[in-house]
Amino acid sequence: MGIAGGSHDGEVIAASLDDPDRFTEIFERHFDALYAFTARRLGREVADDVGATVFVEAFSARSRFEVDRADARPWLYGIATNLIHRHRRTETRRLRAYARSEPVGPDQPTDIEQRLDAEAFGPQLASALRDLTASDRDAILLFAWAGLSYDDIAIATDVPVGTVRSRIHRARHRLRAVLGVPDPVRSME
Amino acid sequence: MNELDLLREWPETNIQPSTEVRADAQAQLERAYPGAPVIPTKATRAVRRFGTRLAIAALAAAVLIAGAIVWAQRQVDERIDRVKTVTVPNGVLGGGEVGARAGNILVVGTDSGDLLASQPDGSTRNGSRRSDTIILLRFDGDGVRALWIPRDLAVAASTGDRMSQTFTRGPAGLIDAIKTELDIEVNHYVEVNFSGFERIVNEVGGVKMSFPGPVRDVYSGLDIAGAGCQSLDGRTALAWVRSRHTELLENGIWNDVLSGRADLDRLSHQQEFIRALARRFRTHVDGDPAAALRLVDTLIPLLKIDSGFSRTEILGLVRALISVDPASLQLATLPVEAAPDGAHVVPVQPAAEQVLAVFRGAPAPAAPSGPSVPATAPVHDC
Repeated sequence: MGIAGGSHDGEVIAASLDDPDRFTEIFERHFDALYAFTARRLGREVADDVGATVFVEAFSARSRFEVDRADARPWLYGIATNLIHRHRRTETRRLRAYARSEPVGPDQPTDIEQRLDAEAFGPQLASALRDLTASDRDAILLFAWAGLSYDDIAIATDVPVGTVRSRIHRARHRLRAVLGVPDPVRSME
Repeated sequence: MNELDLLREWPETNIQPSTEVRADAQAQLERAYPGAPVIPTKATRAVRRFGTRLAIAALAAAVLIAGAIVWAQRQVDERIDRVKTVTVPNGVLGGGEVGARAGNILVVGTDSGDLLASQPDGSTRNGSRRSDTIILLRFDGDGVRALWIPRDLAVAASTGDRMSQTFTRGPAGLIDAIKTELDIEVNHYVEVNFSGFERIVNEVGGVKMSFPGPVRDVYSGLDIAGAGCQSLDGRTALAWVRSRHTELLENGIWNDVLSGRADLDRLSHQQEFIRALARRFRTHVDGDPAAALRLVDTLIPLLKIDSGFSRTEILGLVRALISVDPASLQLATLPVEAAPDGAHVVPVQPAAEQVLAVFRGAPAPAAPSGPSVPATAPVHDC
């Protein structure tokens, strides 16, 4: 990530300190993914505002970015996560609604069987996520939806990587309990 | 399928912002740009730190260079002071700052030692104060040109019968003869001991000259076995310059390629040598001030200058000589032909007048394209 255009994210952000216009490259590289993550948690309506705010806040805080980092995503997702916390009630309301109602059909299923499974389990997933603590939910969604590594999540949420590991462990345990999914050790066999 | 796979696929996986939302977000972001404080980056801070260091380094360098200049100035001054001077009677030389304005310098070369010192045998024999080589140097805005005056040039108006013999009266005799015979005013006078050039050639690592074939001179000891571009050491180079009986091996036979033009060919030998030496000087001292100073130290004992030279004039002339591209050095011999008596030469007209006019201040004729010694010359620098 962040290698397109020749300069990695850190170099672009460093350049944007003197030349703000350069920051548009960061926007172009990452806006869609950040928007999708936010929309998945808060819905499109809220994401329309939050997505833009992530980059405005990132821009004004760009001097705090450690420019030797090639990937700005952990930082951007960290900002997004803080903004999402302001909409916690929106998120829990959405999750509650998911847990109660019939699952919403997919836009573009890639694997019908998988999609159907996920849809079928939608209410349970929503229920499990709703019951997680905010920080556990952040960790598991950054892992599952944003595709960040444990190290990236540690950066994004500003906690040690060990904390990230235990948060994700707790979240997965809770999800398995709700879904009735077999123990991971046995399922891998 | 575990809980993570399920979560990854739920609830919507393919959410894209609409074009309008993305454009709005970008516009919102870019509205923040104009008022944003410009924050120095680590890189620019590094540049500034580097800039500070550079400034300090430059200051230190400036101090060192200033010191070096003062030192070099002392070195130069000390060397200029070491150059022996010749007193030329008042009114003989035109004087003036040659370099600041156009002017002529008469260079008299000897191949037999100090012209003005008494001969080792104390003899008063005819020719003991003979000038071997007479060169007029012209400095003007365009550069430097040199004209070799054949020493056998007939001098009708003087007591001597040829140019070289006017020197028995010292520099003033020769300067007067040049004025009366050639109508050229000499501003300054320099004597060069060519015999010392052997050491100079060796100091610069030899000179390179190209020969059409094996060349010898049983009189001067010249013996060049090969053809083409040869590196000549000091002794061989001097043997070449002194050679008046040069023979070229052609088809197994030694031919006298000079055919009675002994002295004139010697002059052309000198010109080719000077050009080759000038080329060598440039490569030798290029970027090496120490080598330049050593060379100057070797040259100084070989020179005498008239006492009217100013320091700035000397430095200006040295600079002018250094800046001349050897390939474009204008080296020529006054066009002459044998006089009816066979013992002298006389100027060939109008060629001689055209050449001399430049030394009288006429504009130089259109510069010949390429070197003044044609590349087709049998012997040339390379």
